Amino acid sequence: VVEAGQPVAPNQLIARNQDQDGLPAHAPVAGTVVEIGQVDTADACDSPAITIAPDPVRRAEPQSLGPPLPDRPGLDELIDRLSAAGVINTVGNEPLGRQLARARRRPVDHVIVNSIESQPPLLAQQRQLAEQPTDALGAAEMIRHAIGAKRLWLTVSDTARDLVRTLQQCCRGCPARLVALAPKYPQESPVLLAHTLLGLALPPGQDVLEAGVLVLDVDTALAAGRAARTGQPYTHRVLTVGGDAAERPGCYLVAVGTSLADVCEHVGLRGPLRRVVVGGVMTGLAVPDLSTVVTRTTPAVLFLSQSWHGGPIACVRCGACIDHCPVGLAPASLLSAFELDQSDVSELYPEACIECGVCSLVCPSHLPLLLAAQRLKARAGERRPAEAASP
Amino acid sequence: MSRVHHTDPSQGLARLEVGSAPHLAPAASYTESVWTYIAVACLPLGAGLAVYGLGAARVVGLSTVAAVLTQRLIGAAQRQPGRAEFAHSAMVGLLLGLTLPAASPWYIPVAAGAIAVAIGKAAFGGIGHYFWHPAALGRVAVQVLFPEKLSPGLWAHGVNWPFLSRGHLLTGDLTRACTADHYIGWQETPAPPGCEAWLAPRPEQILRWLADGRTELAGGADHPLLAAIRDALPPWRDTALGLTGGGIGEGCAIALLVAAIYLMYRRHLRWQIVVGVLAAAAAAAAILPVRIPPAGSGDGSWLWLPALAWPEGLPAGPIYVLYHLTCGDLMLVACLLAGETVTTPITPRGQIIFALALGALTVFLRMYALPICAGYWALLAMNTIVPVIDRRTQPRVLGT
Repeated sequence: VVEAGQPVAPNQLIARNQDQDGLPAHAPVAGTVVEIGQVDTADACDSPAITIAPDPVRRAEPQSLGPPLPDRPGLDELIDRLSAAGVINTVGNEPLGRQLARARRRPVDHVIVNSIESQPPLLAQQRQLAEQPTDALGAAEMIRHAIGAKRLWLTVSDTARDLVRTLQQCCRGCPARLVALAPKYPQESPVLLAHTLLGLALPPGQDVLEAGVLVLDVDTALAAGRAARTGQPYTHRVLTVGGDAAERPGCYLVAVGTSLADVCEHVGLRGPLRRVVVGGVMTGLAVPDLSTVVTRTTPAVLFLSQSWHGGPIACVRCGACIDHCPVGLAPASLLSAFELDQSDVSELYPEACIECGVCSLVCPSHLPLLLAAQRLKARAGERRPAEAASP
Repeated sequence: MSRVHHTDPSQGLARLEVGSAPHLAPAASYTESVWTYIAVACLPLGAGLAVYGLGAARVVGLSTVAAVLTQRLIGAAQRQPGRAEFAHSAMVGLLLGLTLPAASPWYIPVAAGAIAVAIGKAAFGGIGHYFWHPAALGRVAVQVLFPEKLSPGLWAHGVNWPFLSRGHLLTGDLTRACTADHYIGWQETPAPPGCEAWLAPRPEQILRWLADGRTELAGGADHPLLAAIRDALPPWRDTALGLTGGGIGEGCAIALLVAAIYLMYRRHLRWQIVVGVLAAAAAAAAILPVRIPPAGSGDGSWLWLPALAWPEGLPAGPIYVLYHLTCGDLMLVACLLAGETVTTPITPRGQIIFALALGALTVFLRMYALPICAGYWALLAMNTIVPVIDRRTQPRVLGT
């Protein structure tokens, strides 16, 4: 929408989505468009990007997407607003507006707002819930009402005693059901939340939304609430910044599009920097350089001073991966199927993998079990639509 | 379109590494598990050195050195040095040494170690790829190759094995052995002068004779179990402490159990294996019949459920079951060999099935087929059907 050299105001629309899978982009700060080019994100190389030079002198009025919606907006209204605001549900990395539109086809019975992040050192969701409990609950209730779900759940870590007490008071007189769970990784996986809270055992590969469960994290709920109430688009994200090389680790509000180098400069470094990870220690992606930018789905940035080299040896069939797999897979069998390039792996259910990475962590042979499971899962995912189309 | 660089790449930051998740120090490696096995195997080895003399160290040393040297030769041929493979071969050689009798001639441990590593392990591709426990394979191979050296008169009566007598532990000489006229227990029987070791049949052998219904064991009109326990078998305490003839590491059940408990505590061994093997062995010994020798002529009759035998108000049946647990190679197989992860089923459910079948098969073979190496043969047989067990005990995936 914009051109190089054009001044922009905060929240101004700077790019429009080309299809319904995309999201619009908004300027996080007042400034001038410098360049329209490409950047690397943790998941993708050469994403299109618009560089804005912030202009601290210029006072531009933040723009709004429109008048506040009513307290109990209709579904269509809400979907339009969320799509315009570019709110993405980081649980499943799908635009929230589109997820709500899917809920129109398949009725959703339960909305789960999750604040548990059990992989160290993630804390941003819990922190946001602690700071804005009523806003989060209000937004979640708005979504629940709009899609006509029966029940709203709020999950918190049972180690955060003070937060649980505060929330018990907030939840009094509101329809949300508060559940404190042990933050045992990977409890926050939507599949396992549905299993723990509702006793649902989803068929392998099925999306929780198809089973009538919408799982949101606190950040997404708050963003939806802001978009509806004040018309604010999604421009900033609360990140956990951690790792042993970070001087001042903690939760930071960071503009989407900020480079990791700027984040690094802000938090400071102590000790050498060996590895930079976007995400938590279990599932994060190590990035090759600091020009990578923060996106709407970046949960955390870790600056690590250590690295590990465990040369893999052959599988010794110890069974640790099977013992620890939260969904009951046999990761060792998946690895051998992947290495042998077996054509039929349907008996091993690779699509049930929730990609938590526990198998790789516990393997005494240091085998890349997670990678094999991810590849097979991706392959099974490609095959399924093809099979569905053939008959 | 040009690439946007938010920062100057020449900022002087060290190059970043990339690698797959998880970004945490990985779990303890398999090599660590191997070294722990080597360390705990020294317990039964120590007990063996005490009972069979320091000369037994020669047998264990030879088998270990042969195993490591074979690995070295194969590694040189493959140009694939792997430190894990060397540690593993040393473990195989050490465990193999524990299965051999202390009086073996030098070429038996050497041949066993070479066979265990070359055929039992490297021929399949090394760690993680073999089907049969290499140490058990090496032991059984030398048993087949040199039967007269390892089991003189396999089927004959008077199969006597030496062990040191009281006052001669560690330093005694096994070759200066004599048979006792009236052996009433290791502690109670003083050795005659000039005699440093006893020659006696292994308790396992006596259990075998009991199942055979040999008339010598039947002391007149007494119950055969009672007669065997009273007249033929050494006191049960001696079998638990390993003060009997047998393989170097087979005898001392207490040392083996301590080793297994430590391995389980360090999570290198699953309790399902040890408990399963011992429970099934006890059940098999309790159920499988022994033969009552004929009173006059004829074949005699079978006594099923010997564990329930309670002749003359004495618990001969339960004691007989305890003998089965502490004698022979069963305890060594249960505590140190069967837990080898590569050759056991991968799921706990499969491991229970494996262990139960292994324990029962060991007692069955010992009673009716092979009075020597029954546990090793049973282990190899069960290793063979591991793929079948694995296929039938796949874990259940959530939602299926």
